[in-house]
Amino acid sequence: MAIKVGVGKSKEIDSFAAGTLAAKNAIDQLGSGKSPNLIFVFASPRFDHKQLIQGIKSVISDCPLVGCTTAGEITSEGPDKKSVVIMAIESNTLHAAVGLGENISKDSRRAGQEAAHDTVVKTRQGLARHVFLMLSDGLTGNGVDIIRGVQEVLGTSFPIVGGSAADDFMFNNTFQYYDEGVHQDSICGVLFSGDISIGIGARHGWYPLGKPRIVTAADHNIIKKLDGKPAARIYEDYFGKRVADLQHEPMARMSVMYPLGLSIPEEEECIIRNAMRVDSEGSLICAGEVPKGSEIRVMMGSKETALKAAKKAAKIALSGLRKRKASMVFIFDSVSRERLFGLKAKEEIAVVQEIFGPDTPIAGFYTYGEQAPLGATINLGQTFFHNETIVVFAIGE
Amino acid sequence: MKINIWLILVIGAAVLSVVVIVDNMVAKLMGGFILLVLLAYLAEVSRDEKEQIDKMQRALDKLRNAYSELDEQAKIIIRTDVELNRTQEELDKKVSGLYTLHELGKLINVTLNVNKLFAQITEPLILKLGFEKTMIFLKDSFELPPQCKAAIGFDAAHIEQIKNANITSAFLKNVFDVGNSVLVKNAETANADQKEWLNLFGVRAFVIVPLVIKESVQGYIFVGNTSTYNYISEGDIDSLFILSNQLAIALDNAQLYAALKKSHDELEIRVDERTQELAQANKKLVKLDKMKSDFVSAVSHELRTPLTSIKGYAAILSAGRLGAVTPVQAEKLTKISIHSDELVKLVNDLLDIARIESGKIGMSIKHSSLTEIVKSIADLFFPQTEENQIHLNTEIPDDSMMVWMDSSQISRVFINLIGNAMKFTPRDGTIVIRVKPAVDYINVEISDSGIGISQEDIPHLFDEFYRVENAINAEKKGTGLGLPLVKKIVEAHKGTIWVTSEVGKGTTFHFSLSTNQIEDLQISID
Repeated sequence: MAIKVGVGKSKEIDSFAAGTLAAKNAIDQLGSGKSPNLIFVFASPRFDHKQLIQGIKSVISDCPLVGCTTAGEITSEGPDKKSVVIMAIESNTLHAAVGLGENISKDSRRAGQEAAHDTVVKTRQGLARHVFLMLSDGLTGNGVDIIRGVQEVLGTSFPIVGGSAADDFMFNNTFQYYDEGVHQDSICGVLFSGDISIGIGARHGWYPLGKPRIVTAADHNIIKKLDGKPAARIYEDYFGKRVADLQHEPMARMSVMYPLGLSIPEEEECIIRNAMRVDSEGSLICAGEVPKGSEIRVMMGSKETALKAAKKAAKIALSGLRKRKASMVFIFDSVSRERLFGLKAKEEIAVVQEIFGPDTPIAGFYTYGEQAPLGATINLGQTFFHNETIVVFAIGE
Repeated sequence: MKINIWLILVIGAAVLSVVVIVDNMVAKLMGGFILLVLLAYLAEVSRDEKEQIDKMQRALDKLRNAYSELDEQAKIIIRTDVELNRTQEELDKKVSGLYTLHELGKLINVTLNVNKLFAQITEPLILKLGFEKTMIFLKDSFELPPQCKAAIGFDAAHIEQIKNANITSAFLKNVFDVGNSVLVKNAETANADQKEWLNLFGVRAFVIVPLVIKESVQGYIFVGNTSTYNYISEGDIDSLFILSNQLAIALDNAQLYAALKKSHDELEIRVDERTQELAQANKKLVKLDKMKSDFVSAVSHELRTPLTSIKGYAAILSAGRLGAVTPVQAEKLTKISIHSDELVKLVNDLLDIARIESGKIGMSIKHSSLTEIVKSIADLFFPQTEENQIHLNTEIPDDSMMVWMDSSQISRVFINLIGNAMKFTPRDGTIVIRVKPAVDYINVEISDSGIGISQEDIPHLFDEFYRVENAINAEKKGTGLGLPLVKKIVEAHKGTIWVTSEVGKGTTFHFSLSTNQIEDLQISID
């Protein structure tokens, strides 16, 4: 096999020890004498991040590292909390270049450009570029603008996948790991190239309810007015709560279960936007951009439809591999889905595992936002910023 | 229809211009007529149009209403779904909470060490219960304020900060005095005291439940959440009360166990001390006993020589060799002889015991027939039994019972035991000698139908100089050395001896002798 993958996990209390153990665990699966070309780190925000990275580096020293904090970590075993998951990749056919873009809150687009540019420079000329994987701060900046920045460097229809870093639903800080550094307000990315095939599937399974409303005033990720009325009125209407109450009630909790759907022409599913907060004027602050003039509906999900969506996403990703065997699978799963599934969160991961077979290594995390192209991958559809979505990304050889 | 209207308007305009331009009355009238017809047609057309529009408007309104109704239904669906989800979430939390508590219960029920008990409260466990942070406070003694015994989800510096904060709050007093729980759902609804707690512990919501041990509040469990999503509800208090109950029972058990262990340890130390004292006392006693044996041995030797002389001279005197003896003198001389004999017997017994004890006696252990001994003993006692009209029976198997023994010593055992039986058995009574073979041993029983021995006396029967107080003993003399000597001899043969008796019915002495070879002189010397 030309691509070898090991996934390690640790729940040690001590951050350094956790890093060391998870790294050893991952390396052991590569086979003796193999040293990885790239490692991914998905870790709970509870760690002392510097210690954690030092622990990992004490085992794997000279190898690019990217990763971020999460709201739950995912492996083949299913979802977990307060752990660190490490995926180590060793290959002579898969080429991976890493890049970093900082200060996304200042200029999201520029940060996206920088990270993408970094990876392009490091990628050998003539290699077939396949996909850009991004891990960005889920609480700062504009996710859509970061994607735009990346697209400006790599092409508008170049596939981008990824998840936004999270912090266990505390909404304080998220961290991004890039080599030895622990960053905030940043995006780190990996450009995969070489003789590989990729498959990306993104689905949510939420369905629209009630009548559509038109966004009549908006500013990036803030929906100000719907049908000329303060945007929060939509939740007031449906939940029977006053705007003042909504301001106190953690909005994220409500919109996790009942997000807003943004219809996209010709697409099977709406794109979902989570309203994170309500401001004093009754505007909805979303995790992701909502353009003026869009048609918006309230969405509702159920465990069954969400589980079906996960299966579909996995199937789409598998079909993208064009009969090649999956060497590894990444899952960028919205934190809202973990909430929706509750005790059954394990089933969602099991459904994906089932599609790819029991031996396929899986790593991933629960995110504050997901990035993936819409439509079939074969069409190289344009990448969008999603919420409440499961993104299944497979690399095959 | 629209084309028609335009056409009519064009025609109308043309006709109008003809009417204006042409200077012919007929033509003007004709034109006017055509114009009238056209106007009438136009009115008709616009009325049709309006009707059509009205119809469409009505359909549209209907559609709008349906859409609004649909939207209203959507609202109902969503509100129902909200309730459903909230219930489901509570239920999920409860189920996983109960499962976790059950698992914890199994763990802490078998933990009897207080510190290990708190170590069982781990982060995964608290997370499964749906909480992020926990601190458990417990009073070490009644007067002292509760101390932090376990902290989860806090870093070391934060724990120190909380420990040093010297928490005193009105609502905490309520927890201790009444045993109530406290739930603070968010900062908005918290009072000043509670807000202080939210800040100190760095949480957005918290619950406190009391730890009730032996019907008094001795501490409390604090749990809190920092994330807005993990809200705490009234339902959580139930599971926390279960946790606090489990913990309280386990703590009570652990405390009881600790107290028990402490007293047990103290007792053990005291037993050790006493044992040592006893051992020392015993050593002294053994030494004293040896001294006594040596003394008795020495004294007996010294006594025997003059006694022999006394007996000798008494015999010479009574034989009249030193001159005639008056009947009164003869009587006194006989008494001297009898008493001397008794003294000699006493001295001999004492000497034997002393010898056996000190290991100075020489025994020649041989494989000999017990049957023979029993027969000769029965013969020996025949005259006495005849005289006292006592039936002496033997129950002995036909085979020759062979044991390893010193025949002369074992004969003494029989003589002593049967002598005793004779002494305490009334006329027409029965004495039975039974010999019963067993594995490695032959058991001998000597039963009488005598007066029996009381239970109080049995344990002392083999003590030296011990004499049971009864009418017969008061009358008949004895040294109190017979049974001790018997015991020493049997034990010197690696055998055992014991007594069963019932007052008024009789007594049985049992002893066993080994059928296996025993070495000569296996006599224990303590």
